[in-house]
Amino acid sequence: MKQNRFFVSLFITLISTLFFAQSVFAAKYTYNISWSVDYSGPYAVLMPVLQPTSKALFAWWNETKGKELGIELVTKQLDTRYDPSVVASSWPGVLSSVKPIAHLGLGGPDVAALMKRLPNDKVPMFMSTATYGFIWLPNMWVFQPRPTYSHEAIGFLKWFHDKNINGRKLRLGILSSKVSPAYVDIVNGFRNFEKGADWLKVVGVEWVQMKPVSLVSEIRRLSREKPDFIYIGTNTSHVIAVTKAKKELGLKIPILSASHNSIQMSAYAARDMSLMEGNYDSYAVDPGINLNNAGAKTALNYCKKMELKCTWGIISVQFSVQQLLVMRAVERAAAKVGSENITGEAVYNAMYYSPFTEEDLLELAPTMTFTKDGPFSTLNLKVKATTVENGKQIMVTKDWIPIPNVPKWVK
Amino acid sequence: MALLPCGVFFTSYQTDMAYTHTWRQRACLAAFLVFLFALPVIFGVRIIAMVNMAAIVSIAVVGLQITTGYAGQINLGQSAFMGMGAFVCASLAVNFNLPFWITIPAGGLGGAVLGIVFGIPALRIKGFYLAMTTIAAQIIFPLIIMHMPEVVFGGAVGLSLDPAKLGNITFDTDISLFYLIISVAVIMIFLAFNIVRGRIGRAMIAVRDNDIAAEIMGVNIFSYKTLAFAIGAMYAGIAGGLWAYYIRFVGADQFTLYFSVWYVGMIIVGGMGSILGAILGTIFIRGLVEILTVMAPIMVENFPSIGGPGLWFAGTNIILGGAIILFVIFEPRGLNHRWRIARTQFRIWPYPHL
Repeated sequence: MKQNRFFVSLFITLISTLFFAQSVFAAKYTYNISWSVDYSGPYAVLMPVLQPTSKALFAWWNETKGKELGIELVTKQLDTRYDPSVVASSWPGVLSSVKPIAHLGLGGPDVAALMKRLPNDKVPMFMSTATYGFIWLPNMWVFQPRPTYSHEAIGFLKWFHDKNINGRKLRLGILSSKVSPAYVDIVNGFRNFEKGADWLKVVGVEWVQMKPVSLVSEIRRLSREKPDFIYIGTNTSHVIAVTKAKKELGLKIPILSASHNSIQMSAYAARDMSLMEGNYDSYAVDPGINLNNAGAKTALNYCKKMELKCTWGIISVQFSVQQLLVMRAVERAAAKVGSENITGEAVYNAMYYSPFTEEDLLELAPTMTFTKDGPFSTLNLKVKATTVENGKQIMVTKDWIPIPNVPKWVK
Repeated sequence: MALLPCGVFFTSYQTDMAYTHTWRQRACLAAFLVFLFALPVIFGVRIIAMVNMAAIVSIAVVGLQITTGYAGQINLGQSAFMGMGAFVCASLAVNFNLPFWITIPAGGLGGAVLGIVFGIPALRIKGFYLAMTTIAAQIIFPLIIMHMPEVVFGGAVGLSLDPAKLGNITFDTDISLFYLIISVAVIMIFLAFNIVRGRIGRAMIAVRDNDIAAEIMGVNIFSYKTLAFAIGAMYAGIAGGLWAYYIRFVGADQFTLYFSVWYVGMIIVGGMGSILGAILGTIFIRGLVEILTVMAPIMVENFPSIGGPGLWFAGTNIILGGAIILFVIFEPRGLNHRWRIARTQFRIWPYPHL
């Protein structure tokens, strides 16, 4: 009888020890990251592209770095309809129920609705887009992995000028729209830069509707100024309309576009890459046409492992950079305060500890050094540019192109 | 005309026109107001944030109800009028450091001025053509903001403003803002009930029902059509002022045609020609938006095999649009009519079949 009791006690002790050991070794701290998505608004078309890659990237981090640190990052999606009123009314609920240590913003509505309250809420917000001049402000709790749209274009244009144009200024025509202050801000950035630049001249700006039927007369007027490039920072409709107008007028002026209306996005909208022949785009992240860099390999390997249908391109790259920044900030915060003590404030502070190297960002973006002077890294800014030759998108240069100093235009 | 309990009668014009006729009605109104101001004690901050946004929108929609539901002047520019109010309010707060109790009414005035400009054509045109004119307000609004000197409305940059303050109270949290927003909403709704049942309201209804007959009866239709736009836009301007203090950043792209269309949807759902209908419509549509915003991620997480996020989130648009269509087909008089039926049934209980 006594022997039986002994064995039962021993058995219970062993089982308890096993459970205790398991709980100790598998100690996992789960942290939530809230994420603004838009499945019912104007950017719904992007969501199926970025979702699987994001899923794969978070799975990769949780299985590798996360496991090392005993941390699991969980994303909680919030469909904002790209509407600031939805963001504003949902955010208090997100704060109380999700308790995020960081927020992944989608665009302008997130910035407009949250930028004033984030310092009080102690939650840093990470964006994927380029910055606008009007949020180039000090002490922001908004972090942008990319400089302004004007920076991104000026970097490429300077490189092009130095390489191909001698003895005169590069002549830039701009096509934009006044429906959004953001588009006007991009033009303001160029205008302000032009004042102090001895290599760039803005020869004309055409303000047009968002969904034009034809842009022939606007492009004819702009072409009289003999621009070397037509910059379009608005949307894919404009890129396609200008391409068609150029064809009708027999013009060969190349278009330079941003990431959201890039060659890939415009070709996707037009269902024809050959329409983009001779056009350029430039932005401060990898264009997503090289599948051999660390970022593409990591994401696509995990997509395969998880049987996800992933599309690798500029959209997945820019969201991957946004998410990698959060992950790296969490790693730094864990090193500083411990895996069990990560808060929004710890993540915010971690953004300033040291630069985020190109290696940290899996070669998808250049090294970033955040300071409290602005929401984006202002040191050693670089871009990559692509063009279309023989119906195929190719890199203009293998390496990153440095961006010259662009003065602040919003005081 | 609502049915009244047996024995309730009026011996003077004042008692006939009073908001409440019986002590029960007065008690219910008092209890409702107490409940309204006690919401932050009862509910969490999430619900309060929803109420804040719904209250701001309801002020703009009540204004639209006056212009469209009472005066019959279609208006698809209410969001632009709201934007003008927001910018005027923010500009006065930023440039002149004026307190909110001056800037918010001034925002209302700013909205009213823009409303008058676009309301003047209402004398000559109506229906579809008037709708096009008010859409023009929506198109021109961002251009006005961006072409004014930057010091006035901030141009493309927009305006950031400090929280509203009253003595030592700073309205910088959802709860504190709730008291500011709900107080303004209660005042504006009280005024709206008064406007529509007075001389102005009766003249507007006459213009709506038959403007030629109204003119023959001596109603100055130019004045009343313009006034309808001015009052409606003033409500939108006040809502814009509250929006400015709630978000604390105003940009021209926050006030789009999309919202103007939704505001019309709200008065359709609530019932045209009723202040209560405008409020019920706002609560219904905003509530539906909030429910769908909360439910969609839960559905995506728990039922990933059914359509994925694309189906659940995009489905919200179908549900919202579908709600409006269903109301137009099955209850064109809106939620207000349903509310009146329910109230009458309650009053004459146990004879609800009447």
